[in-house]
Amino acid sequence: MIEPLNKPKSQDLSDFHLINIVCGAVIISLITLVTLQYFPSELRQPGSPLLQSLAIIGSVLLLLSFLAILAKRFGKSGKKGFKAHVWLANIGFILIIAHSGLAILSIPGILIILLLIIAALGIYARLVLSRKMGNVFGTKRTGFSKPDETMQNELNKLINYKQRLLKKIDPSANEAFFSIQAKNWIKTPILAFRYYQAVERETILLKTRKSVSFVQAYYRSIHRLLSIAFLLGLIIHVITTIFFAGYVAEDRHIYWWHITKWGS
Amino acid sequence: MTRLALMIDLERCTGCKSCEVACKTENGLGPGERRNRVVWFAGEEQKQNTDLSTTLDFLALSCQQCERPACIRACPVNPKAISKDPNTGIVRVNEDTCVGCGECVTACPYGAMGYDSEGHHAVKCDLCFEHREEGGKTTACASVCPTNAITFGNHDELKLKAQSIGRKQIDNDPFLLGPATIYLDREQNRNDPFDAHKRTVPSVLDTGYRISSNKADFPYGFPRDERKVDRTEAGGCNICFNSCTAKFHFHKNRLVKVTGNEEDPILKGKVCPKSQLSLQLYSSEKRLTQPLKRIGTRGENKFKPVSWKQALDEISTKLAAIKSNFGSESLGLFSGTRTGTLTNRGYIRMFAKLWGTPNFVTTEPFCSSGKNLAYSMTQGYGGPGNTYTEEDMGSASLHIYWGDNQAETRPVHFGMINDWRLKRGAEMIVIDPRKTVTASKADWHIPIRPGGDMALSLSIAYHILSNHLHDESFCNSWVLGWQKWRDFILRRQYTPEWAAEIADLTPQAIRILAEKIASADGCIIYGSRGINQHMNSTQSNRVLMFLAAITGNWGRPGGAYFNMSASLPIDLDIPEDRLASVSKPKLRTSPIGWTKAILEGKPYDLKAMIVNNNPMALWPDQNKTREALAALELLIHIDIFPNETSAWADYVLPAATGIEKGEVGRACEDRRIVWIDKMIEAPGEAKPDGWIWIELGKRFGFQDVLLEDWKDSRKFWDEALISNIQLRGVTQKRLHSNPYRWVRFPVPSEDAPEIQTLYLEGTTAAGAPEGHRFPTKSGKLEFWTEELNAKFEPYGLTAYPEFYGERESLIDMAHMEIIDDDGSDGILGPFASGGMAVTGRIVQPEEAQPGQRIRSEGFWLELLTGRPAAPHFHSWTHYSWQAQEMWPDLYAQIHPITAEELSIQDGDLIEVESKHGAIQAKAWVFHGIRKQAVFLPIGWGERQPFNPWRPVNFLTDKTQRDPISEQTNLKSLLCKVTKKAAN
Repeated sequence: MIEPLNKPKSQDLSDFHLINIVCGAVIISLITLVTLQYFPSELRQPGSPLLQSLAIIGSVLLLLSFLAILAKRFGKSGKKGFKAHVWLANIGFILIIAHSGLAILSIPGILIILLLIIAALGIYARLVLSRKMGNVFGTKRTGFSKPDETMQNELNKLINYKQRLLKKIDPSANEAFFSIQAKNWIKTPILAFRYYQAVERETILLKTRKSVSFVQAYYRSIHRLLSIAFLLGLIIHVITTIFFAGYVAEDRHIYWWHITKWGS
Repeated sequence: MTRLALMIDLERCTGCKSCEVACKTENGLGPGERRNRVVWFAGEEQKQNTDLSTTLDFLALSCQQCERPACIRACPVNPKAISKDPNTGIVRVNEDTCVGCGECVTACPYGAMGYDSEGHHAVKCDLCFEHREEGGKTTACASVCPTNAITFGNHDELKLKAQSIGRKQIDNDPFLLGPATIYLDREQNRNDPFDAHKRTVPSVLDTGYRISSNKADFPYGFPRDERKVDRTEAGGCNICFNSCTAKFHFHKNRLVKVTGNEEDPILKGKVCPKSQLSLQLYSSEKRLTQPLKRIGTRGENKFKPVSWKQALDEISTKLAAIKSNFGSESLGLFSGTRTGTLTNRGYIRMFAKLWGTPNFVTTEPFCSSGKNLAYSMTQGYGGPGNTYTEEDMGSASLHIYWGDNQAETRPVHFGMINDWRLKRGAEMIVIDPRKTVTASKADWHIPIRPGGDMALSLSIAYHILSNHLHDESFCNSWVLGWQKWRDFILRRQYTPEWAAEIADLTPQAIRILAEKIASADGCIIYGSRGINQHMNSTQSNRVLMFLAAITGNWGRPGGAYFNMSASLPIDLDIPEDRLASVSKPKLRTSPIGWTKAILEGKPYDLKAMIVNNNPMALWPDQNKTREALAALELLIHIDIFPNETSAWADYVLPAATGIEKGEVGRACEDRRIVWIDKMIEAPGEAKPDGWIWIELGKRFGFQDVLLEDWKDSRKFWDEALISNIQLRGVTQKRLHSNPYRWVRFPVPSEDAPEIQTLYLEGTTAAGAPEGHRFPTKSGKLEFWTEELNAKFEPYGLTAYPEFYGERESLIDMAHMEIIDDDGSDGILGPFASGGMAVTGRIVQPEEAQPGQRIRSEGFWLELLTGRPAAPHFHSWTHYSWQAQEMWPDLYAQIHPITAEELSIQDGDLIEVESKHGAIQAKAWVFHGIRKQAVFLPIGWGERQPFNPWRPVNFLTDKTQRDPISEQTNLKSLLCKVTKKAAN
């Protein structure tokens, strides 16, 4: 009798593990929030030494999570980067939730709402959209439809334009395979932006984003935009609480560590 | 640079999806993962055709290997996770660095980028890069394609080839991406090129994404190293009548792949999806693996596992008691497709003879008994004599598929015929109420009214004979009684005008068809279940045979009436003194005629049954079947998967199949006997059928005849089954003397040459007296003889094929009224091998019509049943996850105009109700079906693991049987349809 084989382990973070991590983070967050209720009131405040420290660590972890997902753009393993992204984001999430006390009905609460939306979108993309992506195969018709000559002429011009731009951006690159990388944005930002615009125009002509669902077409952009918004909000939050403590406190007592009370 | 590419021929592709199976197997892809897909286009969005001119088209889609690949540009990873080989142009994904963002999936305008939702990375066709690195000469898809629709090679050479044969290429580069794949347009689309944008895709296909990836057992989802082939054995597929040769590939004794056998000189490595999907049957976790004994009530499906010894001991004790109380004839035996030829024709038959029951039947009364009988009467042997070779069937100038959807039921044979006929410029006509895949390839599709076949064939004969278009020389030399039959046809005035209303065609169309048949230099009329599954099965088949004969299309290459397939001519040699005495005649030839014997003890008691496949899903009228099987004192079920029948059994015995037991392929259409060696052990305690029957036989003292040694199927074959002149040369030695494991019978000795076309002028039929061209008593084809007529008379009929149609039709036509009840003794029918049979009477249209009554009750649509698409075969392929991924749900084809009247949209849940029951299905709104018709495929069941549905046999009627052959009408019933839920 030949023994049954178990499927080999994937290098990838499985849906099962992702669900476990997220559920774990949610449970730990809830336990933390409940536990904090039994702490003295001064320790329960977001700016207390304990919760402010957690916020600092949490913010750093979220920043690292942000950087981890960028690793793929610098020749690093995307799969390891993604695992790090998920772990760092979830731990950071727990710490930030603990810091916030889930007080979403406040101006900093907007950041918590953003964080929840970003997390939900990421989980949705991984668990649901990935299945939808598998189902896209064979559902597009445009590639086998009667060619539109006007569109083809415009496309031809666009390709020539891209080729001209590319000679300036990276003379060794081939338009057929090229897409703007981080280094191009840094070295030749204006040309990179023009090239990016041309690519977007080409995408519109090919109607490829319309060929899939809206969420599938734009989830990465939305996830990215919301993450940048969160990052900016975080920076503003840090600056205001440290340098504009008076403004943040309004008429309340400033109990947290800060540098100045500007804005009071 | 040698730019590699695929060339896809839409004219040849039949949408069988064999390429999809090959691709997943080769690349270890699980559910939802795709590198290719055949997209079915089944209508035009802007049209609501009533003339059925809209065709089916199939687009085999995989990566186009573009010069400017949109996927590479969309990839955000640095360095890119997708790359293009500068030498071959192949675009590949690095699955290790891909982050699974799906940008490439969105970016590809062809929708040809796959995605692994479990591993979270893109997957795509790389033209079998690794397979070819390992020595493969071509891609997996091209190697198996049954129709030669996929060719792999140098892009420029493929393009030149297409140009050299004058084929027009589809412009698949609207976005200036420079795709390498070449698509050849349909021949009929010269003025209106293929445009996917205008076409509709049915929603009932390829929606199997609900299947979880953990349902895919080894080797799917395993690394290539663990699937690397280290041993290959030649064998064959045991599923359908195409009898494909196959190669079974192993890695450390685990089956990892089933492919075609490229060493086969006829099939050349081509296989349909079923052969390859058998991999998923062999490794399925759903298999029965130990004997089970019922502990719940019947139908409750509660069992406890028992040992083989306990199961067989208890069964034998109970059988002995039943024999003692009710006689040996009270045991009924039923077997079918799954059971295998060696068991059907060998082990069970021996057991039945030793036990003493005449009540052993196979699925013939549901499939082919009418044509078997018709062939035997006319030709003296139960099947056609032509072969699928270019010199024989490939040389016909006219191919008529009449009630035979060969493209979906035997895709490899159809692929060969279509290929030859395209090369030769031969014409293809399809007569079928639906635009089947076969019809979609035809030059002319004739959408006949269900049940109108006999009228149409009679009127064609009338036109040919009345205009002296027949081959008089052949008729005079080789047909007995043809003048009498001609006089009958002319006397009855079976004119095209008479047939037009019955067949729902114009008289002019009938005349044109008749003249085409008469004038063709070699015409093959392919008949199958569309002809057989009617109450006039025997007579319809006879008329079509006569039609072939009077036009000289018999006993010649490229000319035939070809209704597959004949059972192997096995004669069992059992010592006279060991034959058990049988005191009662056989009950009805069809097992559905046994229900009164089970329920009421009439004409005599039937108390126990051993069934070897799935009668609950097969026998017409499942409600009655349930009632009958529940009333048995003992029901034993032998099968490979648990199903509806096993749920009602007292004991369920797990069987081995195919390469687990050693077997021959099914009765092949063109007499090839394909041997399948035992290569692996069956799962758990499952046993070969032969082992089960021998062990059961031992408990009754049959071991001196059913020898222990014959558990080895090779010995059983050589020693017990091939003693007659037809098979004597088909020994194990000869079967194993070639790399493709088949021999075509008849071969009277091991060194006798195979015969390509039987019954050629100047030859003598195998086993017939010298000079007898045909194996009839006279040596000629026999239309009418005194002897034959005398055999018909007890049934209340004559040897003249007088027209009658079906009782359930939208028009009133002559039909057969069955006089005897199944509980009566009836007659001892000359055509029922001395068994009991019923008598009938042809009721003329002016007499009372049951159809009128049924129509007045609101049943206003024609109900057709039949085989589904190529990946499915009856119920056993429904345990394969990939077949379920392709064709998950039971569907009902319905015309758009009818659907609109009923507010039904494609994909809606509908209920189809006949006078005999009701079931639900998903609507497939399809331009290609007659406006008044509804088609439902067979094979789905309520206890299947992936997508359970009530099967179509809740809608069919057990009483509508051909009195001569007991063949059941499954093709012409009345029904109504209601919408149950929106898609």
